Amino acid sequence: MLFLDAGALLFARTRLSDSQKEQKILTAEGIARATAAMHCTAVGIGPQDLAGGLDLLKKIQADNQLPLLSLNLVDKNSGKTLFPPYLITKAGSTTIGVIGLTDHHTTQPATPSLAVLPWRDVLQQTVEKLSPVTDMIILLSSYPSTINQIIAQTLPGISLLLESGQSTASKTPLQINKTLITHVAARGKYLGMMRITWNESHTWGQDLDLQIRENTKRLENLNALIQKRKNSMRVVHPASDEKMNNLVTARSGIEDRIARLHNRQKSTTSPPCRYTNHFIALKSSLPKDPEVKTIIAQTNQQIHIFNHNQTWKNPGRTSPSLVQLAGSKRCAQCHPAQAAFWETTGHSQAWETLQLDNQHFNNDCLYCHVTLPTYKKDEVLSQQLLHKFPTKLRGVGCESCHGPAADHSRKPQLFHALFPQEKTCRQCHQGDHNATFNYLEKLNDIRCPKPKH
Amino acid sequence: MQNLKTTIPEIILLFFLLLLVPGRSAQAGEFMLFYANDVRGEMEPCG
Repeated sequence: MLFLDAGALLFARTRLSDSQKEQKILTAEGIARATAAMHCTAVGIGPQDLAGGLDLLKKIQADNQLPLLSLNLVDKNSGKTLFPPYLITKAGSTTIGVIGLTDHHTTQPATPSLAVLPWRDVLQQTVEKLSPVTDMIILLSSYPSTINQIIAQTLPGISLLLESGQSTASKTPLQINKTLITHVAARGKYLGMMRITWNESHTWGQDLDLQIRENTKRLENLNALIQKRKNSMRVVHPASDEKMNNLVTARSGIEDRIARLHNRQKSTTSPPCRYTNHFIALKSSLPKDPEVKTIIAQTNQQIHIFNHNQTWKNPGRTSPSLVQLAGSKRCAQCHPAQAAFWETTGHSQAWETLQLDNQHFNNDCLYCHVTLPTYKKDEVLSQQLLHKFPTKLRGVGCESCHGPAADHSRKPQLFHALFPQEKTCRQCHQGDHNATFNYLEKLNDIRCPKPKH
Repeated sequence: MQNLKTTIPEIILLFFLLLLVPGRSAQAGEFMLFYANDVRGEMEPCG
């Protein structure tokens, strides 16, 4: 059995902001421990994995014996690879070479002595070196799909190419030349699983009998369509009928294909290599591994303590931008019916749901679970709106939808309540957090009773 | 992520159980490959 990760394991982005750097590093260290606990065979290095710097990556590798691979991350002075370029392992009776390849376009090395070589300069000789001593070569690539397809067309010695990246969709294996290319969706929501039958043909292929049967079926369907068209009263001059000509041309193509398949069947001495592929949804209902669960809990606790210290022990005050917010309890004094209804919605419990998961000091989560004058993350962070956050603004309160109301609470006539537009809601209800969000449907759920005045 | 490690042994077990079905035997050169991408989901629940 092999368990591989193509890259972008440790960080989501190629750069870390100063405000989040230490939290992200704690997370990366936890991920590395968990990955090692899962006995991962090999991990490719993507551009994102260098976000914390080369020294950090090396430390993480050493502390966890993490099997990081990169063929083209090199020391600029000596030209030597900084990580193992490949490893050779066995799965059953099959000897497999696994190569790591880092996208040289996207990687921006902060370390001056680090260079990322273009794949064309290094990959072919490594594939040629591994081919005689392995049955199969797998490439872990952080290049984009367009480049990976060029690699597959150029180097038929690569049997399987696993892509890393941030795609939200898994990719059914695509065969280019002799290489299968695939990737699983990001964010750890799915696991790719292949059952591979590898033999001396070293070539992927569907069963030839199956291909012949499928093409024969297509031929029968085409013949039926052609006959039907001939019998049609609308066809006066068959020779000039464009649709008929297209059908005849298609039939000719399939007949040629069937003939070629029969020839291949006669000349083939061994069957092709085969695979089945599945993407398994890693649902939360699946049983938890105790060791990994402990590592995740320990990491989250470290992050929680760190964030708590950042918020309360570091100098600084609550942001003055929050003065314009009154808090939902203040709104309730004049709008009890609306406040009572709000208490029944998920918005009122938003902060508590974070607290249950020990994420209530995690700024990545917090800003969508409290009342703020803006939910644009860049503005939230740059204005330090979450620093020493006041208790009265916990939960997604009235002002999250209707706008700041501190002045209105002092002079009731000075207020024009905003009606929450879809774009307001989608600042938080999007992507991983709410992929199926329906604005109109949800609006009905959270719409407060109208005030009497 | 914490159920990924459990999932793999369970799937391997299922695979070997399938091999025990009468008439079905493991072929030479047959193996399982699991591949993941960016497993940060549980470590970074909010992105």
